[in-house]
Amino acid sequence: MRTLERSNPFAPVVCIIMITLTAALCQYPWMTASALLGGAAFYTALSGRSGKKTHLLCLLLISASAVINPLISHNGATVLFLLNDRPVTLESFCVGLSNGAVLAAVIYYFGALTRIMTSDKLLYVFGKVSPKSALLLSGALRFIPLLGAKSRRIEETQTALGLYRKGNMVSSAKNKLKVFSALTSWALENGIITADSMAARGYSDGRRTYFSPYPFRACDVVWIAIYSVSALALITASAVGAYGFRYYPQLLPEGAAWSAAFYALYAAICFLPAAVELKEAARWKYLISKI
Amino acid sequence: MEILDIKDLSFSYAAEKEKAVDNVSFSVEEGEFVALCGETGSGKSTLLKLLKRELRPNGTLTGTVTLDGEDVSAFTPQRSAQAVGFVMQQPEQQIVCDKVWHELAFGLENLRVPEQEIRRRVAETACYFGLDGIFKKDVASLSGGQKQLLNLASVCVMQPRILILDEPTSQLDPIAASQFISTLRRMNRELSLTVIICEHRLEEVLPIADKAIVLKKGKVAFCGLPRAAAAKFSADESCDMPAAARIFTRTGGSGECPIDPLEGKKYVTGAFENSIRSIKRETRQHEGAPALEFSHAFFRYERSAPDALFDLELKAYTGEHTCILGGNGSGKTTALCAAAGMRRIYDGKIKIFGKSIDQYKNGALYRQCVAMLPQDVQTAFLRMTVREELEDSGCKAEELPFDLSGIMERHPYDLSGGEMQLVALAKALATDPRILLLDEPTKGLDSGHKKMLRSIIKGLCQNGAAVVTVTHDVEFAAESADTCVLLFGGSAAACGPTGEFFGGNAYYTTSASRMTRGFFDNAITADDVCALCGANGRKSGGA
Repeated sequence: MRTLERSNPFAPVVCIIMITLTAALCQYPWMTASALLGGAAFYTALSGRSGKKTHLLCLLLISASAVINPLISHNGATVLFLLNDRPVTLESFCVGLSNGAVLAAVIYYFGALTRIMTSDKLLYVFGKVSPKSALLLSGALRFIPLLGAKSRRIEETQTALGLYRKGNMVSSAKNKLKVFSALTSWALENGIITADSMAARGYSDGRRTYFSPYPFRACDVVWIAIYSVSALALITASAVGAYGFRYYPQLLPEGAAWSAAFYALYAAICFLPAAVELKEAARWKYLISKI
Repeated sequence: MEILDIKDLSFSYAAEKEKAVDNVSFSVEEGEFVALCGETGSGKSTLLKLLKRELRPNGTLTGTVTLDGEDVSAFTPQRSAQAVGFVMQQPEQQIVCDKVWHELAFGLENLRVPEQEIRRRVAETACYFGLDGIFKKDVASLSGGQKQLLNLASVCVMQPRILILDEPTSQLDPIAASQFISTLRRMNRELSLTVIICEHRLEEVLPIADKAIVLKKGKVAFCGLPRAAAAKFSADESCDMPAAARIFTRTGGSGECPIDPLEGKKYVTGAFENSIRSIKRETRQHEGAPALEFSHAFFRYERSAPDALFDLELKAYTGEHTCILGGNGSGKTTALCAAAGMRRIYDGKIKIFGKSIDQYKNGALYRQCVAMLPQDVQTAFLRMTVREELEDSGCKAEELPFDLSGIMERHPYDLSGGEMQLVALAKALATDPRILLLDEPTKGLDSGHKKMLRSIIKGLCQNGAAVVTVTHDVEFAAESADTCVLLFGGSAAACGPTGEFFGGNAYYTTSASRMTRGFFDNAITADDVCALCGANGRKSGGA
């Protein structure tokens, strides 16, 4: 199987939405644990050592949620101890832990998604939905850095001409305002030439096709199919009570004996992205060792 | 076969009485390379825009433009967009999208070409233009030359019948400009693509053109062979004909007019004696201590980046015009910015009038001391009219060494490149600088404005200022500088009085110097060559 990074941009978007959606709708301990660990593994596989801060953030989030929830919510039958005459329960603590873990899992998966989705991949997904707005977005993405660079250059030039002194707040605000107005006229001026260039190349209000360097391949369809079907199955099965878990009033697993199969399925789709990533890395190592 | 036919074309802008294009008729054969010449304001740009329906300005138009036997006005929108390719002057502003591949596909997307076909055309075009290495990059990361090449490619990907270019290289450095022109020539020869180009840089375009058209005040003054155009208009300075042709005419040559350095060399060596080989130039004595001095200066943009300035040693004196030359990335602009206090060197010293630059505090550096004009002079303007600009900087228009009275009420952005440079210069002069730093002041200027700039700089130097110019324009440096410095890899590789500097360089030099290398010793401008030819006299048996 091809890694999500090398797939059509729709594949990672669909897969990660499906995983996180299921994690949010079916908050059962085994599944939450799979989502958290699978997400952490995938994120680490993509970002390597540069992801340290995210791990710290997630750890803080889970601990905070586990500590704060029992202080606010006093449901649950198993009282651990009393604080200010209020009961602190095991169930409430577990719910806090689970909520924090789901949030952390979402952060990991979407963190991984932003590593995969460069601006042109994002535009591609967007462009399939609405070609017009994708073009607008592309133009804006190009224009914003231009604007920033121009404003820096204007400030430098004004300084070198002795007209832009760093002084009190009032005069510096005045200066900024002048630069801003010059920037606006520059942007308009610029826009006229760009509009000419667009018209010269046949741009009009009519329909247009949308080209992208990302073809749809069989592998992409497989990714999307596996994740859509699995998520649909897991969510429906949970809704009709085929498996589940109750936190209140007491921690209690629910559903048939084969609910383990659902847990296994979810664990599989959580770990698959990381596994494929690792397989790829291993293949590279192997190839390099042969050179 | 005739591809383009223009009959009795006249045009006047909506608000003006005078015709910008006046009764123009000519035709272009398929595969012809046409150079359109004429001074600024002769109607070149307007004429070119009339050929592209989408870009026609507002006004009254009479006459017809026929492409492939059909009137352009009757084309469907798709055909009109596809058949006539148009490349404009500004590399940056023509680009629409943020990625190179998307920019290439833009036109085809508009024509509703199927995705599979776009893939093929974009790929083959990227290969032909050598854009494959930058295909996935952000356009913001490209150099000016690459951007203009991308503009050309994204027009050519639509497979136009005819390609029109309006001063495409005026914003590029000479090396990128040469590459651009040679790509055009290659397309013309290999694909028999019809090209109509208007250019200031006739030195390179004229030798490869099949036909030259000279416009004067909206009328066709000449239409025929480039050689004949060069012979006829080389005495006319506003036309900016190649140096070889100018020398030929001024020395009273007869026969075929030379239009490139090789032909020029053949003409000079064949027709003249060379018993006097060099021009006597008085060696200038520097006045006092240097006004600006770099000693062992090092600079980096980032800690891990390579040195942009590496052990730079440079001196500029009062009363002199110092030109800093060098390729892209040689540290020219960086050096200038460091001298203007905009970049801090991490090792070494920069002294302004003997005092370290760090000792100028609270903007003292910019009061009657240093002023700098950047490459992008537009950044000097913040107001709506030239008058307000000048009042803002406390500049008195009547005390300027040049006249701005005609453009006082105009918006600074509406000015031509040359006028913009003059207004920015006026703002810089308002601080009464003793050191004036100029970055690429000749970019996009026509010969008239270049000449004016030369005399302004000369005047400033005579009044005791030190002028330091960073430029790619070797011809300008040869005619205007007292001292030239060649930067290479962030340090000064060569430095000397202009005559010696260019006389000593074999490649990085003016076309007049290339033309007479080994024949005369230090002739670096067309004037020098003419003076030496006159002094030596013609060969007795020669042509």
